[in-house]
Amino acid sequence: MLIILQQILNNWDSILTLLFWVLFFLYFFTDLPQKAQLYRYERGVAAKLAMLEGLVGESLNKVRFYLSRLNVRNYDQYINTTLENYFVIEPVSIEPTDIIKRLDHVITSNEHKFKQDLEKIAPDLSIHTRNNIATSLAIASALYTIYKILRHYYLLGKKYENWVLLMQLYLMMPQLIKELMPYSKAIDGIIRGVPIGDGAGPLVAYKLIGTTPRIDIDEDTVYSIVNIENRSIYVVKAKGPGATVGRPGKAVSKLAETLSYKIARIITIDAALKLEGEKTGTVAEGAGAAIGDPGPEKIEIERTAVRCNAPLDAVIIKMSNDEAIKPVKREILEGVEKAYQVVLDIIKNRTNPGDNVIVVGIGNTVGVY
Amino acid sequence: MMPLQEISPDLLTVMLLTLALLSLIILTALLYVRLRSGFMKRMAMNPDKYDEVPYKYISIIKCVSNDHTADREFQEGDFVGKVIGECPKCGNKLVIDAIYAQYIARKR
Repeated sequence: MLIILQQILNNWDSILTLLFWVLFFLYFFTDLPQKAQLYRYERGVAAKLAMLEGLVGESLNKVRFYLSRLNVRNYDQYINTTLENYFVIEPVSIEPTDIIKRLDHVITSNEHKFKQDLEKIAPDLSIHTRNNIATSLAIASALYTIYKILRHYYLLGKKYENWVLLMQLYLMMPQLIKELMPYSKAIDGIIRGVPIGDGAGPLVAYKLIGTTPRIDIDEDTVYSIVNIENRSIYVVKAKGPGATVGRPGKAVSKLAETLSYKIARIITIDAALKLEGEKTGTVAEGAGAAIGDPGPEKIEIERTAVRCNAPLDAVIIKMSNDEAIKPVKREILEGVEKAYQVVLDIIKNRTNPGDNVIVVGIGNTVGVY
Repeated sequence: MMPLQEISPDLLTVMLLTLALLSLIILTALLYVRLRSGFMKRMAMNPDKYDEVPYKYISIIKCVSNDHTADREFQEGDFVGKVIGECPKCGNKLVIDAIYAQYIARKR
């Protein structure tokens, strides 16, 4: 044994050379490196998917706990149905006539179906509590859908040994996980009824109207009238304090009709995504309708503004994607105060006494009356 | 190439010591550069390792005539615009004017 070891030590340079050639052959003339890399990608994606599955489970458990606390029966079946059903098929777009009406019809039908099903299992709960359940379930459902899509591509990549697909997933997964983590945390805030970042618009609306009576104008949407320096301000927002975004576009359209289209200005306030490096709570002012819906609500505001020949102001409060769904931060509250001052400034300096002005606080009104 | 056994043990020790010394100097220099660039500060709040989680919810209470403001911890059922009583100074309505969350960094 010692002799062999001595011989090896004497010829260690030739052994190294042999090893080098073996490795050279394996690396350049076989598929071993690709196989090893494929295996590494596959394991990496599987680990991240397991993490995402955990997030989906955590979110669903939070919703289950909330429903059981509210004494809702048969909630498991309802949750499972919600996760798999309620998808919307986009209307035909190669024939654009009436596409907005058709899209609105499809979205509204889906929402009604969802609300009716929820009402069946929880008829005794208030509309606000039901809205909170619907929103928290929608968040869990969104997480589950993303998980399902990622799992589909992972299994497809594994099945066909498609290393390009697995590599793309492997590179994207860390960013996706970071972006999806706040979704699970957001459910806590919704369940408690705490205002979220997206509620910056309704918070500014509240600052304008305080506790003045709310008048119903459309489904889940209200308006209040206040007087600021002899201007009549019609403030539209979703009906709180439940989690809902309402139908601000329809409300603006109806309100304009009742005012015989005599409107001097329409101001929309909404939370907007900040770019990396920008400060949370920064307020910016521009032109147009500040609303991030699929189209039907935004177009109503734009059409009303055109019909009234009223300038359309947009005031935005900047925040990141996760800040928009998590409970409001102090910086966002400071942004709300700044946006309120900007709106007051627009009303006082760009309209005349006796004018009618519509102000719309866009966003989810959870925790805001 | 010289066989390993022909290198004297003294020379081997000197070589190893020189290597160790060089590595130590390089590591110290690297650490100094990183410390100077605020590396430790960034490490302390590395967003990859820490999550911002809400640990406390605060309700800000205000009198509608703006002569009284107070903070208290959020209670179940609180919402912005909720009338919670009368102002101790003027007897006007006391309402919840804002609710916000205080965040802490928690290790992921």
